[in-house]
Amino acid sequence: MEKEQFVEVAVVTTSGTYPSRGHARVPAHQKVRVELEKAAKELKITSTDGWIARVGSKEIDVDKSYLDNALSGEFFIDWGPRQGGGGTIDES
Amino acid sequence: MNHELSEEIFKNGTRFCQDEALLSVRSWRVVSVTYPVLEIEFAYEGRSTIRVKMLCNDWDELPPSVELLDKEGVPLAQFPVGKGHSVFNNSSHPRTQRPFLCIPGVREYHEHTSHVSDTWENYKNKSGYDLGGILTRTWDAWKNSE
Repeated sequence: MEKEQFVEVAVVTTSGTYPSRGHARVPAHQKVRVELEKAAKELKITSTDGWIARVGSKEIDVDKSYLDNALSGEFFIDWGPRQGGGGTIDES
Repeated sequence: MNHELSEEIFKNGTRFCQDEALLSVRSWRVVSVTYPVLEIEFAYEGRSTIRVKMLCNDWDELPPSVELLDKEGVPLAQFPVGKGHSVFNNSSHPRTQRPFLCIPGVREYHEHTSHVSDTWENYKNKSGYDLGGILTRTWDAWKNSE
């Protein structure tokens, strides 16, 4: 039987960082979304529609596991809204 | 809007300026967080450092007025050009006569004649449109600009 792998994760947002100190130890095969949902609940973020998660400069797929996102060890997930669209400006 | 109330909302909405993990991960530096001004420096590998100055008088009845400055605090005469459809508009804004950031949640966007029907009320209190959210979207746009 394979030994369970773990990663050390902290989620940073402008509403706060989860956990507030250090990193959480979570199974590496767990979907990223699980920890983000915990962060949203703890930080009282009511809607995260359109938000993106990054580790370093790389956007990650929150519906995949840490392993599937090629993440290991200890890291921060940077989570927040995407730039969002501007509007067309009438130059006339 | 009541000045004290606006200042209280501003203070509550800028607590992230004390979050060392966030500032470190995003390479943000707090230049000023004294009501009504929130000024943050953005640094990113391969990019010229800039400052984003958000004037938050009457927040959150009004969205912040946003200026982009160089690292010395001088307003940029020309904004970075984004990939594809850019939110950095280098045309002259009707009020400021300067380039402006063209995204919802920014005062110059909602004031512009092209967007007067898309009012701040459509976004106020929605996720991603607090001060941290507006700053994050500005940062994301800047990182994706050329």
